[in-house]
Amino acid sequence: RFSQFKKTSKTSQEVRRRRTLENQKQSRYDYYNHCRCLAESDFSVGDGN
Amino acid sequence: MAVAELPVSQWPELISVLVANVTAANSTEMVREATLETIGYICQDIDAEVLATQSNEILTAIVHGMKREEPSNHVRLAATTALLNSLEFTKANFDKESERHFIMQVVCEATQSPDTKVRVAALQCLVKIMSLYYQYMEHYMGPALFAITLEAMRSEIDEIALQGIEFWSNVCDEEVDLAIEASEAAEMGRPPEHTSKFYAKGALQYLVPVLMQTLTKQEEYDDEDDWNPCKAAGVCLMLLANCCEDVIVPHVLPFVKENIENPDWRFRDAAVMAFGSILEGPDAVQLKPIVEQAMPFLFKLMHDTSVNVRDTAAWTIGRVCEIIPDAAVAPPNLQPLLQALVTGLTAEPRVASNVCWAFSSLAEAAYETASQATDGNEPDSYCLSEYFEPIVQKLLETTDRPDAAQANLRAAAYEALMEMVKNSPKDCYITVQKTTMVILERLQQVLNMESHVSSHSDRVQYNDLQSLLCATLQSVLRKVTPEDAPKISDPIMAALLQMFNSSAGPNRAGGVQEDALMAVATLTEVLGEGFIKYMEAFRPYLIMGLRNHAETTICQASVGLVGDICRALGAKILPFCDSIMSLLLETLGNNEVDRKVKPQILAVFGDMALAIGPEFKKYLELVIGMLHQASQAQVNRNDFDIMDYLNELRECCLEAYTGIVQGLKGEDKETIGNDVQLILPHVPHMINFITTIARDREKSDGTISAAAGLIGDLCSAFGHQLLPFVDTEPITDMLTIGRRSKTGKTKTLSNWATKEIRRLKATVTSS
Repeated sequence: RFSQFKKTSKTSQEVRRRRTLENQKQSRYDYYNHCRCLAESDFSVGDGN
Repeated sequence: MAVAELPVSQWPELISVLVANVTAANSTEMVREATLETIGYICQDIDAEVLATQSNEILTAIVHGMKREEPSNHVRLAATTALLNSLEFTKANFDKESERHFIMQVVCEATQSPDTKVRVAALQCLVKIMSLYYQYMEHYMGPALFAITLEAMRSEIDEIALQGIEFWSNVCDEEVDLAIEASEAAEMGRPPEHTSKFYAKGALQYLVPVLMQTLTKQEEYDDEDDWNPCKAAGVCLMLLANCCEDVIVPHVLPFVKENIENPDWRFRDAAVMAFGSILEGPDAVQLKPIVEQAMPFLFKLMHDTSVNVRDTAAWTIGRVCEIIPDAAVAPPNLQPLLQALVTGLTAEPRVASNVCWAFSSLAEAAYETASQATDGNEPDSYCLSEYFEPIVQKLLETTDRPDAAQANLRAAAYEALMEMVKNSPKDCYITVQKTTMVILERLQQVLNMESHVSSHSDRVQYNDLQSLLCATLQSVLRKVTPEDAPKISDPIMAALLQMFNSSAGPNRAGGVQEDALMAVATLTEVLGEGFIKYMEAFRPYLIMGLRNHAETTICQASVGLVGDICRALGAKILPFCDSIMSLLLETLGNNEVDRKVKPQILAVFGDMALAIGPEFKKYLELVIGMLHQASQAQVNRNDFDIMDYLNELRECCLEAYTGIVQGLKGEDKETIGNDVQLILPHVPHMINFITTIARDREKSDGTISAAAGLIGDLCSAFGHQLLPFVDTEPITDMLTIGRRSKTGKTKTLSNWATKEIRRLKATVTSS
């Protein structure tokens, strides 16, 4: 309860660590999807031809 | 000794002997007290499951000692404390109505003891019983618990009042959880397993007046580490607002209005505290006009004669900025608000610290509003643009205040600065550039001070400052344009390298190293391939981090950074791969290393595979072997933490497979290359692994997402030959769940995988 009194959010190292991990996860997802999207657009080009 | 022997079925007669000690007619007071204390200690330290079978006997002794007829308060206290420690393993007794009635009767009687310690212990029992056995409390709430706890809240004795308040705080926690359970069940179209009895809502009209009365009992010279009924009442009111939502507002507002200008500071402070506490929970639209009206009062209270009132006013403004930002950024209030906040930065550290927090929330809210109009893209401008530079300037000055070590002010000011920068639109870029240079200068200055740091407290402050500067550096780097990044990266990297060098020395500070590693991660992201020029110089520190098995956070940050570097450098990372790979494998195989590092390592294998493509062949067998082993992990399914870990481990395995498949598949999407054929022998295992996940009722959304991704990747890499593997019931069912997921990523990947499978089916049919 003590930590709930007049609580203000603090960017502790713990929060920074979590954000970094989330950011890495997101970058990995984006990178993988980038490759997947290329595949998709290549196919659509292929279909057009 | 009992705690060691009972779990292995040794000393079987112990509990019977102890019980006899308590219940025997000729036992002395001292024997009974000592025995009950012993029972209490055993209950406190032993695994609940071990004692469950003996709970009847133990309870007999405890209840015997707690009874009203027990003449000794010492014995009653020991018995009540023992009960408190035994509540977790007496579930079977609580399940039986007659036994439950008896326990409750004894506990309720003990709350009326003339002895304060017995009363407090009995009230603690009620608090815990409420959390553990909420569903059984209906019978006791109206006739007993309500009156007992309300009376306790009114007590002049702090320890008793605290337990009374804590009881209702616990009721709120339980009922908030039950409300979440109910809404989740409603979404799934089924009734919830447990239901709320809405005790908090029912008791609101009686609780709120007592709590507001308690809010007026502040300590004038408050020690921030002290806990008292006044603070507990503030928290309880906040929890009630979260739990009861709109209905709390009319109970609280009259008190606020009556007392916000009361000549007695205690009442002014209580009024603001009550107001600030109910901002979260009730509907923001309903609160907005009320908050707008209240703002001028809050601005005025920022200059109150009492520092307590100034502090609470600043906290409440911060809450408004966080929870109902529309009321804060509305045109009539914005300018006076900023004026009040900027002035507040020069107030006492505790007040200024709250003001910093308000700036953090305000920046975030203002940016969000502006970016909604630009579909999430960086907006050109926002409502804080014209004030941005002076606010940043003031925040920088605040970080430098000589008293900034108090009340966490320095950290709060840097945090506000980070949020201002992170949430800045295009027209504030010049200030971001200037801030970057200021931060860099400060970093260099701090590093030059290294030799002057002597005392321990100086060292702590010095390290904290380095950490904060690294964190701020990250937020400015994220804003720097790709054109500007290479212009400033040399001095930044030089400073970071110097930091690694000194933090790895005799005055080593793990926290600083970790923040510096995170700053390097951001730098790799903004520089991309351009980071290659620092790799030689940075390599020793990266290796040192990967080898740092004793400090998990550093090891983990280093592993994550390898992934970032892979993405940034692509194939250019190749010359560094052998040494990095051998360290990753070594860490993975080391049983001393904290297990949470291991899933990250697996995922990084995928990053490396994608970065170097066909060159990954040389590591393939080794890495696949590791993944195979990790994917077969079995755990204790009753432990939530371990289940979370299992899901994370599986998700990372899947990500690694994805990276390997995509990497070896190469750029040519039309034909299946020779390299990817190397994976073919391992496809059955991957599919088995995916099927295990698909059949697992406790699979996480993240694993479904990653599994769907891998299915799609395998389909596009191997074409129709994969169809028999993926066109199966468990996989089809899992993808259906994935397509209905609330998470965008899971939905996207499940849809994509489904389309890939359909495409293969269509190819097979047409041929």
